[in-house]
Amino acid sequence: MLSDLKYALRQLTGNRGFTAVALLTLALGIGINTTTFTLVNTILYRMPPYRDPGRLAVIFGTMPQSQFTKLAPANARDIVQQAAGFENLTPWCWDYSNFAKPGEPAYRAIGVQASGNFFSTLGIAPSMGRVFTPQDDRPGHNDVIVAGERFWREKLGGDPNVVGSVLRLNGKSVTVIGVVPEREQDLIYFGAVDLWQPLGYGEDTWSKRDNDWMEFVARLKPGVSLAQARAQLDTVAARVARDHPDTNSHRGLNIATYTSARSRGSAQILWTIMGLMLFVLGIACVNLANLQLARTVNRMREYAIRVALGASRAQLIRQLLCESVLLSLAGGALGLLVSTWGNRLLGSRLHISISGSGMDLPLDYRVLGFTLVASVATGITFGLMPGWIASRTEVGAAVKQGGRGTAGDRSKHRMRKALVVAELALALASLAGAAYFVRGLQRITHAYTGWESASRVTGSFMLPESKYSTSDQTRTGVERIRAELAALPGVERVAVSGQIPIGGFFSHQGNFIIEGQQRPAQGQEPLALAERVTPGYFATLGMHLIGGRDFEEADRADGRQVVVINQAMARQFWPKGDAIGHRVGSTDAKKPDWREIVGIVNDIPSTYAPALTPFQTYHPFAQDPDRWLSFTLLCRGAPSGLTDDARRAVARADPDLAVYQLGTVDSVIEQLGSGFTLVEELLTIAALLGLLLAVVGIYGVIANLAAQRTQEIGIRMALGARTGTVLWLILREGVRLAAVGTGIGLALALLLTRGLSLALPAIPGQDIPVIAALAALLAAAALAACILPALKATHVNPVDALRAE
Amino acid sequence: MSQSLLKLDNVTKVFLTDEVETHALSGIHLEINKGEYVAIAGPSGCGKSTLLSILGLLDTPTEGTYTLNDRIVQGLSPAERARIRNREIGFIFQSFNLIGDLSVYENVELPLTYRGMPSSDRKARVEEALEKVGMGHRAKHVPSQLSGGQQQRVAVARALAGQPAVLLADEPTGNLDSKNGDAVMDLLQSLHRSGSTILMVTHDTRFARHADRTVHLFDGRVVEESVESKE
Repeated sequence: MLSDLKYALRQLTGNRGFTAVALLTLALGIGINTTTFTLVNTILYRMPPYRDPGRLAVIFGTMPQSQFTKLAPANARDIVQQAAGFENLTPWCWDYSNFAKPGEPAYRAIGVQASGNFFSTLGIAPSMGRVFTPQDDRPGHNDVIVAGERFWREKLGGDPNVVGSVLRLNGKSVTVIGVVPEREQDLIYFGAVDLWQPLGYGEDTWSKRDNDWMEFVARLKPGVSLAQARAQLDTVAARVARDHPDTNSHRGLNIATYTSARSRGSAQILWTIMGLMLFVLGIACVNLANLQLARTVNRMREYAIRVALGASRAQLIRQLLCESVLLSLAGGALGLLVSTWGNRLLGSRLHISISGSGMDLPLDYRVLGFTLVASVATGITFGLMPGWIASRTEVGAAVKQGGRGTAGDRSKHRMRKALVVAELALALASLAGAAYFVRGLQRITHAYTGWESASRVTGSFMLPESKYSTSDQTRTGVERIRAELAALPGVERVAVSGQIPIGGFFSHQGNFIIEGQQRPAQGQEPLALAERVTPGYFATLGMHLIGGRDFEEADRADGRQVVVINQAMARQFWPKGDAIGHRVGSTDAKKPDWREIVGIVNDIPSTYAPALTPFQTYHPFAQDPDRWLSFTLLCRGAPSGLTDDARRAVARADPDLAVYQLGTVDSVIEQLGSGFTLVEELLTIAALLGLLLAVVGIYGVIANLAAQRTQEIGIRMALGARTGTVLWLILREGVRLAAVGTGIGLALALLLTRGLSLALPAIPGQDIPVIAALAALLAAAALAACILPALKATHVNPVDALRAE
Repeated sequence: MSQSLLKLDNVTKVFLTDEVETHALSGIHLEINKGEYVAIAGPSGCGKSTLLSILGLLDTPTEGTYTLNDRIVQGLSPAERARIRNREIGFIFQSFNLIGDLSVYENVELPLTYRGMPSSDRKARVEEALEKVGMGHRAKHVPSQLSGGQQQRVAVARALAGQPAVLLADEPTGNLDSKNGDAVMDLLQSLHRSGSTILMVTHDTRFARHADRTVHLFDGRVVEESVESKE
């Protein structure tokens, strides 16, 4: 074995051209796969930096439309009080705060509000000061915050004496009690949190059961399984549903391990991307097998000598595998370097969870293991076939004087051609797979949205409860902001809403009943998405009023309660077209909130994910105010110049308000879809790499075949063959290979994209014309690769060719 | 009484190429005793090399029996044939067939490596073989640094190192000038005198005379056997 290794090393250092090409191929093939696997590993398998993470769990609410909903505070409290199988139960929620410093624009801090045991549940220790405890989580006493290390460094100047300092948050003073280091934070689940604050809810908040906004982490008691915990939660859910049928019938509880919850929804797409990347490695393998095969043919005599001296087939294969595995391990090591760079690039562009941007993609033991396995498997894959062929060498002819090889030369040529065909087929499948995602994601991002984004500016803000605790304060605050924005030069229209419907998202949802129609069984009431909007919203967003009217300034809090519904809802419940004037209400018998339908607007399709429901409703903001808001400006000229003006306008209305996600609507959509763009780019790079390898592969084979036919070409030219005849002689081999490879690749591409469309129905990417165009591109690239060796063949000097023989 | 080492009984070899049958060997009867030096002579295309390939277990007869050291070997598995080739047979080729990337020492060591022999034993064997052919001082050179005669000496050392039962030499002087050719023949002669069994294929009657016995092939058949008088 040692002598095999020594000889393999000598072979590789002695053939620098081959070794360099092979190492480059391997480094790119393994590198891009290692980077992708690092992403898979980081998101799906890397343990969070918390104590004993195996016992951490996440609790969700369930409803007929979803198994993963948030929880209302009262339901969360019931779990805390009644579920016994847990060491810790911690409700929490997102809390975006306006952090203001004199002379600087307010900053929107990403916060988590959690019950007092949050840090002990997860096992997080501070690097400075202390974390909050249940003692801090009391109504009116929660004016303390724990800062994240990044926030402390970037917004608090890295002040070593920060503990005890007072910050202005949402117009209120809060005291910093500690700093949590970045290494103690789980970016994948929580993102980059700036601040943590105790919930500090009073009874009025804890008793709310009709609004779900709470999330839930828990730590299982030692020895308690997830199944046991689920059984306990089922009991709690049944009890709550029995005691509170108006809000909780048909609602339940769900539990998942923390690690599975943090990767929920991403596993399938990540593994699909990984699978497509393996195509590239497959192409690299085939390419290297082809190169190795060419070398094997040239070394047939050596193998024959070894066989004559008593080398067994296994010994010969082992020696060749030694070479290929040694090469692939070196390529794997270089691939690690490539992936280190790739990880940095990919990590910097990752947007994970609602608050995170940019994260580390570390090379841990699992990634190193993957690279090792990928390298060895690659080496075995591309070394096995040449090794097998070498071991079947016909010794008698090969060891004779001048004997090059063997009667099997033709079969080896066939083998090389078959490899090129496989390479082209894999390249086309890989291109089609990447195109599937690119087209699918383009269809999502460029799908009909039901509203217009061009010439519009948007920004989001949150009115803090400390300053806007009443509906009147909220209404007044929004009116001030609307007025300031409307006064900006170049602004044609202004609207404020819960959020703008990028991707078809609405900020609220709720079950409804229809006055005068038979009420469905409890819990079976239809669900509608809901948005609070100011008058002029539909015109500002370019939506179409199908019937009735838009909201008016007259739709005030004390006026007639009204609602605008979408076309799908009108068509479903009032098929005769008489929806206007009817009333819809909430399912809460104590607070039915009957509203008269005054208008019907077009549907807003859900483009990023399947819609929970086709029904959509809009309430006048004045009648149903909210504190989490976005504004939209319809501009007369170029919208980009208005963003700073808009920030200043909001600051004039309230200097404590931070505006985030500010920009032209198109730029915000692009920013929110950056994950899609990243996937598109990653797959495109991989597919182009596959194409390049395949083209290099066909070039190598045609060039080699042409070189071996030098004498034949010389004879043909001596007999009067013209340049065109010689050109076609070489080119037709390439045409044949390209045709067969593309044909098989087409079938493979259709199968692959069909499989993808079944596995990922949310990404509708199968596109026959695109696949056909890719096939044409591949065939053209393959033929272009054959031109050079064919042209070279036409320059053969017959005298030299014949003399050489 | 002489002890039989190799025995071919009615051996036939037929090659099939695109429906064309070529009878390379027909009804060959040949017996070689231990310590014997036999030459196989005949014109080009008479089947000498095919016969050598069968005797060296590089090929199998179409019909007939091949017995080596009292064991019928033509039906053995490829792995078993490789093992016997490694231990019982030493090859000397016309074109030397040294591996250019290996040093003289490594070339001679190669068959012993395939045998799984410990490194220290291999070293002793290689040094002994190289000394025997007078190439000990060139152990670290690579074949391209040697003359044709020297390369063939190394090839002989490689064949000897495994201490095989028989040396099969295929036109061992074919690529050498007369001086080097004579030197190699002298080397084979001295090996024979020290007890080696040698079977040499040659078309040069001058060299065939070095052997105890010459088997003449023509059109795949043994047409004559002559015993050289050693006066």
